[in-house]
Amino acid sequence: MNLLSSLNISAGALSVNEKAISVVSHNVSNMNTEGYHKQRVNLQARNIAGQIGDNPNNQVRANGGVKIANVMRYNDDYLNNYYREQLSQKNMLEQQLGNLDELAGIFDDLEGTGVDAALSNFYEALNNLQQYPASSTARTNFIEVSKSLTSLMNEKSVQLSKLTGEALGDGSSEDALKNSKIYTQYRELNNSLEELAAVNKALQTTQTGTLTANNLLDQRDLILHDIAQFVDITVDEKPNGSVTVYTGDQALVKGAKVTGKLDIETAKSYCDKHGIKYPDDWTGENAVLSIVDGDGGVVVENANSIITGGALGGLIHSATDYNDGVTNAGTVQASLDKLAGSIAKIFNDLNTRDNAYCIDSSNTNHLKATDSDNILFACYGPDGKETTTGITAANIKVSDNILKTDGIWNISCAYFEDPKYYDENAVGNAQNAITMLGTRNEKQADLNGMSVEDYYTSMLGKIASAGDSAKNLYETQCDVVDSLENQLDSAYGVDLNEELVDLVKYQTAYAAAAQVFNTVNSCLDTLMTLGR
Amino acid sequence: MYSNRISTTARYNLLTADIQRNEANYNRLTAQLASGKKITNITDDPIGAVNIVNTNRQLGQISTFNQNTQLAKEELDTFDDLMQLAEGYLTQAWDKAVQANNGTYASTSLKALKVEIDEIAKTMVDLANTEFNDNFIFGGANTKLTPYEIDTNGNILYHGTPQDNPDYVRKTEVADGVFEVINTTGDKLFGYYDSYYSDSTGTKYYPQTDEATGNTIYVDKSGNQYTGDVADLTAKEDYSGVMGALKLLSNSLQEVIDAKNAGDSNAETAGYAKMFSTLDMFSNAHNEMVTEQTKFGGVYNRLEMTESTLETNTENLTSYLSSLQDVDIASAASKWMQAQYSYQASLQVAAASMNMSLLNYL
Repeated sequence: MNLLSSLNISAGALSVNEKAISVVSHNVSNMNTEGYHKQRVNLQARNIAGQIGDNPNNQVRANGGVKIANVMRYNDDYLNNYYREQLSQKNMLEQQLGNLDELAGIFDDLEGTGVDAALSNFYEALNNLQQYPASSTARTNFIEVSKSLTSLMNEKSVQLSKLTGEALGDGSSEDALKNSKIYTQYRELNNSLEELAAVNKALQTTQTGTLTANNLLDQRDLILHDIAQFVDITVDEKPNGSVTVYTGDQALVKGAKVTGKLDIETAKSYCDKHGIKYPDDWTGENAVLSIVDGDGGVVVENANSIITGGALGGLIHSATDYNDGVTNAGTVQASLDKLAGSIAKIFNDLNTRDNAYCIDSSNTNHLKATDSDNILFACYGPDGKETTTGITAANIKVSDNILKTDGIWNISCAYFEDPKYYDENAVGNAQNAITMLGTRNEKQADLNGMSVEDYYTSMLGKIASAGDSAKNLYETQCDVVDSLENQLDSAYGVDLNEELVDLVKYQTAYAAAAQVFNTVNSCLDTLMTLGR
Repeated sequence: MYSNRISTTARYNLLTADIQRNEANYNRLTAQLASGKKITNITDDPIGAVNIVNTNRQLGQISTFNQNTQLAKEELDTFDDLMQLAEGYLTQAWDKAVQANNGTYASTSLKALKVEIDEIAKTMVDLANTEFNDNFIFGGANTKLTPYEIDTNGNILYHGTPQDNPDYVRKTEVADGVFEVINTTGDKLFGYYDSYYSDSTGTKYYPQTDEATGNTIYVDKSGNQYTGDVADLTAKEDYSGVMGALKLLSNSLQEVIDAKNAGDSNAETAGYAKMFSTLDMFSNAHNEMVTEQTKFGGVYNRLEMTESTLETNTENLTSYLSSLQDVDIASAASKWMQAQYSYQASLQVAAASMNMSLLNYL
């Protein structure tokens, strides 16, 4: 009964080619679907069991036509893992670069509008004061220029805090945290973790045999790529296609369960819980990430140090001074504070030193001995009064002592090396102003042995170099990721030509099978008419 | 098995990436050309950016030094003019002293000479009280206090910083850390004349007429009246320079006139001897003035040299700054053209190849 078996074989072939065409159709439909992996029908010859022995007829009988062995999903696990690693790195660099770019924007002093120019103006005013120590114009000008300098430093400090605040919140306010970039990212990551757990669950109930659940795997890989953008992960795949995802040693998702969800709180709230005095004893970040298990139990209290890769890793470490030579908003803020403190100290010390004299406001043709309260720069202390301790770029101001009516005369321009030469009429003595002017090139121990302006320029240089090298690193990393994406696209993307060839191939096979069917059918007819 | 495989999506992505890269490059060069600046952000070129900031600062400093130099030169110009005038008056006074000393003048002529000498003294005091930019030039560090005063007793007193006080100086910065002293003291140039009574402690007392009693009382600078025995006071006379010489000459003329009127030949001889001694004083004062004038002439020359150095530095730094931040238009324009061609080419290629597939031939 070979004719009937031929009929069966060609009917099977029709069915197989029909299915193959449906896979081509699936491929073509999804050629632009993100994360879609091309599928291919693997055909296999059907063998009919039975002893063959020495009878060639048995050989023919063993031929059962064609069947679908499996539908293969184009994939490359090694490339996927490598891609996720590089993607994490790219996103981390992107956050760092974003931070440095904004920093560079804040300190873009090329047009002569920055702190550097303010410092130059300050020294120029001192020069003028040194030439006309008794002139109210020179004194007023000096004060105005000092005010510009301090308010510019205040402004830069505010911009820096804002930059940090946008990234991580201000460290104490819940609202600021909720409006920060890190908060958005942390929520997106948690969503992705939940999605992954759901897909894992689906895979566990779907991929129960040896064949793969191709479309679920596509979904799974896409979510894994999403997660890798936020944190650095390693992936462990089970036979059923579900995965365990780790960051460091910490499992984030295990099968259908999210075992390491992120939680976030302000530094202040963290400190309050742990008995740390905020902000004095807190050297960490403004926001603290923790890892909690699915039931709300805390697994890692402060996960900031273990989250180093991806956008979250880049962001959380983008604004804190770790004293490791890496430039970011935190280190720049620290440098600027140091600069402000140093400027205040230099000029306060000189203005209040022994044998220095200011002008008597009640008789401006006479000198008056200065005293320790006669400061130029100050800040408001916690009690709302002026103090010289704890001066930072954020709070530095020209002292009320100078700003008050007649305060201009409190600038000590005169100095007598030898007190015996003191003459109350010597209002033209500008020795102290000369010393103040001389600090322009003086190396300051508390500014790493640099002069005030050099310290600032060196800070500027650090920002510029850090920004430049971050840009280069990021660009290189983008190239790597682009090239990997291209490789991945090439490895498992749909190629229209390929699909069209397949389509024609299966169509032809279908038509041929139909032809065989017809032929066999007419053979059967012939057979039926035999002997009539 | 995938080595030669390329997917349709990958091909589209590649085309898009190429177009974007060319577009970005084209935009960057366009922005450079439009702004004329090579560095628009400090991260574009960290070293260049730091150099620009440093150079701008140096240029600012140089401009300050330049202003200082200009101002110092103006003050020294004034100083020089004043010195020439002073030397003229001094020479006039000297001529009068020589005339008075020849001994042939009658008392009326001597009186006329004395009036002239006193006028010259007043003029000299006015000159020594000259202000420049609201500062008394010859007061040392006492810039707001009139340096010379002729008091009721005819003393020519100096209130400026004395020349032996090293804190008399006014300086101006003409280069980094280099200060030029641009003043001298009045007493060094013009001297002074101070006649007073001294007690055993050395306190100076000046005679005054008590308005109530009409008696002569002795009062110190702070207004305290001398309470001791008047016999213990010693008359003293301190003087130096041209002011001293003028006052002495005027005093000796008065003494000679008085002696002539009284017919006291001894007093007349003593008067003439005093008068004669002023000739040397005038000569010394003249030398002192010329010396100072020469000294500040030297400072002036140095300032001029500084000025030309500053000018050269400014030119060098300005051209350096331009090389740091300004775009070389020719090369930027040619790069821009190239970028434009590449951009166009990538667009054309993409447009032509995007819809290529087997689909077109089935």
